[in-house]
Amino acid sequence: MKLAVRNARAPRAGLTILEVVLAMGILAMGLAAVISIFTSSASLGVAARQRAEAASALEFVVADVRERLFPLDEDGNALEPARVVREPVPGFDGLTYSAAAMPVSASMGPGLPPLFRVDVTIHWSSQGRARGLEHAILVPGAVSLGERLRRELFGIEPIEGTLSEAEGAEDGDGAQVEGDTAPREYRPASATGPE
Amino acid sequence: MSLRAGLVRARRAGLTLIELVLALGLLALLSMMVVQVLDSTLRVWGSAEGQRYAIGTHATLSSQVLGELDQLAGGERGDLLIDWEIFDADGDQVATRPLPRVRFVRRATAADLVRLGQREVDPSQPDTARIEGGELPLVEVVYCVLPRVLDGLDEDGVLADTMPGQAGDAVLWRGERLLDDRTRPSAFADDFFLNGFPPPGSAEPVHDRILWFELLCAGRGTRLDRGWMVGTEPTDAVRAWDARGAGRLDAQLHPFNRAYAALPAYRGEPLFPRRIRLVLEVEAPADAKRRATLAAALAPEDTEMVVRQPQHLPPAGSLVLLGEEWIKISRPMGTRVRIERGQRGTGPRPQRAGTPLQVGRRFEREIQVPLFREDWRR
Repeated sequence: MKLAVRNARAPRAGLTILEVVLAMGILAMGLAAVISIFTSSASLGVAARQRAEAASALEFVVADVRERLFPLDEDGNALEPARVVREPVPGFDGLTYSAAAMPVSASMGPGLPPLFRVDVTIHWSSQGRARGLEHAILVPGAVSLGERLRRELFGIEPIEGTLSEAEGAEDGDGAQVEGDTAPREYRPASATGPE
Repeated sequence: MSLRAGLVRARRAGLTLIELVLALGLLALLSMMVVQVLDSTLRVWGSAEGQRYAIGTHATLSSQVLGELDQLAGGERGDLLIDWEIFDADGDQVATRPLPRVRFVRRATAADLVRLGQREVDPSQPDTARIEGGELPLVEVVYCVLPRVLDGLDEDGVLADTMPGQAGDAVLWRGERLLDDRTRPSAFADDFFLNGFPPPGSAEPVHDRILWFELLCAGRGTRLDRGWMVGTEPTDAVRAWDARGAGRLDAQLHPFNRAYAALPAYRGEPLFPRRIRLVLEVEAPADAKRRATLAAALAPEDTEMVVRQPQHLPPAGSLVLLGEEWIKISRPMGTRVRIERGQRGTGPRPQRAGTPLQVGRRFEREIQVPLFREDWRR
């Protein structure tokens, strides 16, 4: 009699620990899936912020490149710019930039400096992956009087290139460096005249 | 007998006490973990939402302001004046919060002319529009950040009723008029900012919850190869600008009004900065709902504060607005946080318990001023 009663009631005796743990496990998996949606959208938000920061840094770098890309020789002639590779962006932690200039025309006209296309890239890393924001600008191969004054009075240096011999060889255009780090001299059309 | 049988049955009907306690314990443990994960996830979500809001708002506001500055007009009628006024934003009758205003003259766009009623369509030539007077007009624009008016600041209360935001909130306003429009007051007039506020009807609110708004200016000698550094030397950037060098900056009122050290003499044409950087911080509504607050009153000499809900504070080293004082916070140790008082041109002030700590996300953009008179001669 006792046995029969126990058997009859066993199916209605509630959940076993195993069942409870299993149910909670399934619940946890479901929750993990929901939470992963939250976190992935949060990480998208972080990526958007980083991109906005990089865009802000790009404005700074482009303005700086326009002012300081071209070094000057002793006579005040603009020299060819060196390649900039992953230099830190001043005022922006964790961001670096690269800049590569190539001439697009010999000169815009008589007495005018040649035009360079400068490819600027802002680099940062997000979740272990390298990210970049690219932009190209046209810059005249000249240095303004204001920048010349700043260099003269306050000792501001032009942007320093980090061209290594290996990178120079990699470019293969032969226009870069031969042994030393001095950039190739460029003389504007007006300076190569009869005088 | 039947009672005993019932008891026996009841004892064996479900879980034993140990099983029940174990299951409840497990449930409690799991719920605790779930709540913790959910809490941190919601915090990350809230922060991401704040970031999304900040990116959208900052991009819109900065595009509007810098887009207009990009159209600066030169010549004899051109002008640019950036200065700072101090306000009482927290109602303690002591004005200590510096807020900026920028006034400039820019070229009018076709949209401006339509909006300001200066463009007429000729019925015989509907495709072309002509401008009244024939000359392309200039527009005078003023942006100013004003606190929500508090008792004692505004006598007639006209502005107080129309201002958005909450008490202590700072709002960005914009006003405009055609330079030749004599029916409206000029923003460059001495009495335009009476008591620090523009005349009623001369400006409209653009955005509330402005925590910080500044325009950094680089002059001819400012060196930016190390980033933007503000100071008093010719190699530093400045927070104020007077393009006519006309002594319109009141450095006695606030040190932010110090003019650029190496500005040349004015000779009939406005002298503009060569680059302008806009730094903007707006408080997101999600952040406004989850502010940390002061748990105990703060004396001006205190260098440590006790806060409620320190988890809502930004990372160490961030600047936080407490009442109308900017402070720099370090890493919280429980509810205690070491602070550096009187940042961003404010001074240490006594703060009441319950004062909220407002946080915004820093956003920076810059433009090269096209009318900066650069000389390309060798």
